[in-house]
Amino acid sequence: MTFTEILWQLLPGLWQTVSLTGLSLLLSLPGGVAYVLLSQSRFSWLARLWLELFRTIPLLVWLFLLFFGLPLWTGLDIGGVGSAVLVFVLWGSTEAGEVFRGAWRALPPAQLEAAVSLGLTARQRWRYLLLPLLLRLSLPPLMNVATRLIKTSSLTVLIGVTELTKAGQQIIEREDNALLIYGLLLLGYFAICFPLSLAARQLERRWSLL
Amino acid sequence: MSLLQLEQLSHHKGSQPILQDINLTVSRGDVVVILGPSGCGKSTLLRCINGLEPLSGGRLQFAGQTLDAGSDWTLLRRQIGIVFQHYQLFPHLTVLDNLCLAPVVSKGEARPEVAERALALLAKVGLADKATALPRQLSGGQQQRVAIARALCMQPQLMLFDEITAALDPEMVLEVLQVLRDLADDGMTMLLVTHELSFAQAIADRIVFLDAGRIVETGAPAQFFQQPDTMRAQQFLSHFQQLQQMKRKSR
Repeated sequence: MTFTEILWQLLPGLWQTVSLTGLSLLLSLPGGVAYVLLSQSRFSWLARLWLELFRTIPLLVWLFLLFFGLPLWTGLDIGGVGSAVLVFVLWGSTEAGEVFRGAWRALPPAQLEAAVSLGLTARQRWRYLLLPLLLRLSLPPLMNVATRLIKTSSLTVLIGVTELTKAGQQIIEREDNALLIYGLLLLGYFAICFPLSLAARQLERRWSLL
Repeated sequence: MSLLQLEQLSHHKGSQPILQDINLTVSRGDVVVILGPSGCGKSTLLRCINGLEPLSGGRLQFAGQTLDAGSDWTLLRRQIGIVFQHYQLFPHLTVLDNLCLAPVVSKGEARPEVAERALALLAKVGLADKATALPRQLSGGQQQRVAIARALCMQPQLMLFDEITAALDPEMVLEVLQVLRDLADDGMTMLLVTHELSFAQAIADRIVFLDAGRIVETGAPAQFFQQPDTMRAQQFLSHFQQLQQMKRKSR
């Protein structure tokens, strides 16, 4: 196999990784809002339970539970990608939710009072102050959640999802060039995560409120 | 002609009375300084006038409008400016946008006109070159001057100042007080709470002395500072004189 052929073989895996985590992240945003609302309601213990379930039980166990357990116990088979998305959304929602909660707490309440004193209505305060401030406070940490999601997605190799790591392993089985392939995988993950991490830091600095 | 009239105004926090039986009339162009020991309700009084604290009783008349405990304050707030101790600028907006936001959004004025007015106000408070700066890039004194300009940009008929120099370093107090001086000279109607007594004496047309949530004395500054009527005011002033002497000795 030539080097170019190897890259072409890895490409679908890369796409699987990116689309899987991208979809999970996208769904985690409304999930995070739901998590915050739940944590502010009188069922806040439910949010607490949700958070602890994903903090204390390894994600790999969750993946196995859904991929192997679910069809066994309920006859419902959502497949490798389905299991992965479900687990990552449930986990990502708690992570995004905690980011939103932190942003909400970091809002300077006095500035909002200044907006009230200037005659802005509640809707105008949301539109021009709360939402822009929340975005500035939550986007950088959300990008860090994204990098963790991308790295964690390599676990799905164990439930038969052909993402980047799996694509690499398939080549290794045929070609016996582990060092090169794993080196490429390393570069691949780095190439996705490093710009994200860099951008997060840049934004954090540019959007600093103090 | 009276611009602002408070009638039997009161404010309670739970069952605790913070302000009681407040009657006060402010005419156009008046500069009224509210003095009193800390916790006497000075700030609360200003905040009540702007509806930031709800009235528990009494009513307020302002330029032909009458408001009481149940009223919506939004319209009135567009006519009364308030400046706080901690500036409270919008941290994500430039200085110019801090000034323009409320006139454009809440009064629906055209942005170009507002921006023109905002730049003139910034020039007036000596910050014409800071229009594109972010609040965090400014000193405390500069931020406070922006906050004053932001309130003025709404073209209010009355300005409330709540201890606006209390959080500033001494060398920045002067630049802010100078802005107040200019405003008073322009004929702005103002209500101030301050601990700068000599400034209060110089700028005020009238002193209102508050103690334990009630107005216990009002008078011209010369009279109030030389021979206050009430015991409480005498005690209050003598504390300040002692403090001044201590400062002078330790120098």
